[in-house]
Amino acid sequence: MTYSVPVLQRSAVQLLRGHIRTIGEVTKPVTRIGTSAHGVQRLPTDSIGNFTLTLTNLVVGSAVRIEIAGTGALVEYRVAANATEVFTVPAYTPGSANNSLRIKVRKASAAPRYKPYETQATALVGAQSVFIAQIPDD
Amino acid sequence: MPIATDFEIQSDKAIRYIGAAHGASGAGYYTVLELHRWLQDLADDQNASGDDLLDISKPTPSDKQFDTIITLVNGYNIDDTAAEHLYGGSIIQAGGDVIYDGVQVIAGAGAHVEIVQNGSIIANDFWNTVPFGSSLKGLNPDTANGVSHRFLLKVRTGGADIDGRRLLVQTREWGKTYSEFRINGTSRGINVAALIFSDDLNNQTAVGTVAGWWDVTNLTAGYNTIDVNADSTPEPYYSRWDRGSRSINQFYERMKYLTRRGSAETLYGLNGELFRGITHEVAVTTPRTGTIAEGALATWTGGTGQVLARDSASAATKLWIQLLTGVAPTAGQTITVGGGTVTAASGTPSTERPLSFPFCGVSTGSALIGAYGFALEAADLSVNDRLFDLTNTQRNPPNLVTFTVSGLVAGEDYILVGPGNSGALVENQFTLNGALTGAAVTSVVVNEAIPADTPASGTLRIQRANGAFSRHTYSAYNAGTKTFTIASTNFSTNNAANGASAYISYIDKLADATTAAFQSTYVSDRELFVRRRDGGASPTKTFETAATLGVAGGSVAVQRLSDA
Repeated sequence: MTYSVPVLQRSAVQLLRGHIRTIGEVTKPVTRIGTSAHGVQRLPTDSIGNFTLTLTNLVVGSAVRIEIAGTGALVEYRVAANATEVFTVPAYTPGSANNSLRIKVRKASAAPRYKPYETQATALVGAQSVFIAQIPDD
Repeated sequence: MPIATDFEIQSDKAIRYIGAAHGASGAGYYTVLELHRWLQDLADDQNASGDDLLDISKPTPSDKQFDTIITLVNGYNIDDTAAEHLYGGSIIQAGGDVIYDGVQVIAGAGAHVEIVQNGSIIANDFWNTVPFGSSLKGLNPDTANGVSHRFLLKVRTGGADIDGRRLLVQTREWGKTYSEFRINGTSRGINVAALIFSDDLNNQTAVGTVAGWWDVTNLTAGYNTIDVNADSTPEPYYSRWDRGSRSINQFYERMKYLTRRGSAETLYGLNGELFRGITHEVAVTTPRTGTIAEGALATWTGGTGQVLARDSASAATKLWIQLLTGVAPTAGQTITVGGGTVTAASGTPSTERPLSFPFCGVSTGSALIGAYGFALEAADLSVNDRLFDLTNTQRNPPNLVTFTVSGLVAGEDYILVGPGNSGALVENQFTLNGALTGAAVTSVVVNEAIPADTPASGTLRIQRANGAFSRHTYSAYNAGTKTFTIASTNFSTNNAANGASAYISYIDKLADATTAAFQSTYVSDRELFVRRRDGGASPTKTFETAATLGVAGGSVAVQRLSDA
């Protein structure tokens, strides 16, 4: 039986039938072509790469939270130290709900205060820049 | 105390007050802006802490349009208790279905403020709390700027405005000026109500004393006519009070008593504390059904009111009402009053009328400047009082003056006071228009105009054929026809000829007391002739003198010199 997988590891190419290789705690189908080979198939919940998200025009001191839009699960949180902050977050298979990100930017603990700013982005393997337009709330 | 100590944010987005109660030490009060700032401060935290379950992972809790208008969003909400500890603006929540608007009262420090909403006085007057450490009522005062109270009031709930967000703010404290301020629909932010709260120098009698003045009564609670200015044409009013034995200022105090805070009295079917007087005159027309009662509730689409007067029970053309809720009737609306209905006239049927506080008018201490449509009976008025009838025309009572003769001995002195001229009695004040010859004469017509200061009733002296002047009591006179109505008298003998003399004997009797007096409406100074005689067992010489009936009346003290 042959399983097509996006990743193929080879020490030798050997076609075997019905062999399942366990890698770590995850049981994954493998393909052996030739003498021996290792293949790892990713689950939909596995990242396929990195998404470089650059937020610009941030007010220094703003709290920034990036979360999965559908679940609210935290992806990353930091307090902006600069007007431009670069976030590297995982990207998933196109269509995955985990690619839908909510970006929250809030600064209201001390003057100058701003209204909460919120926007969304879709993660992909690559980079994107988002301009943050915080509205004063003083 | 920081706001974080007095408020908590629960997991269900409920923002609740957890601090000390009103009046207790530590009770906290915050502006709506402070609430917003605190919520936003929590909302940018990485993680929630303590009893405030809000951080950046939660939806935005609030939005600020202005510093005085805060909207709670995404399900965050306060309750009524929390609202009592906020001031300085509005809180909007539930997508606009619930609104608390800010109220700011401009009044003297310590004013007790009542609020009428939807026809009733709000029982929970938390804003009148005496703050801990203070001696004066009023939450969140700003004494330096004349602000006595600042608080929030719910004006919209369940998606519906409470009586159009209308509020009536009033103060009715004993010994203080009564005042009210109407807010015709609160706006978002701060709604200012200005009240006059100061000592009423004409209301200094102890309330317990005034409570016992039951001789002050309303003889007619409803439409009636009174000739206040004695011009023979009665004017319409909605009351006819009898001040009993009380002075006009004591009467004024009794009116304040009936409508003070906490009053248990009823006026025209309304509790005295809610009674304001006529707010609107409403023109009505056909179709009509049944009869319209006074002192009854009137209802129409968009409002309710209490009927204080109507000009006819079955064919009313006007209603005078106190608006209770909503707006006054508009053209064509059916107005239902008990078992009767009338229809508001076309055009603009409702005319707003001026109010006075208290409802009877203003006291000068010795006179009353009456409220619209308010009246006492004519006998209880003096020349300095001012009334306004239901046509809103000022009516001035006549100057009733009294002339008194003193020093009399009852049963012995006969006193005659008649018209005088240069110290002599004027016997030909009138001349008869037509001879008096009948056996039962009741009318005496004269040629001359009957003076306006002639008492409404009294005595008339008529010259008979034998030259003597006979005394006749008159019960009335008609200035237009120059006719006196006298008690039936037989003139078939010793007639009174056409052109014979006659005069008014203002006092004409055997003294029954040490004084004798008559009352008259002052027009201009009148010279009087005064004669006293006693030819009885202890005779005295005749006393005669001239006297003047002036703007303040007049008096004479007779002399009694023995003629024994």
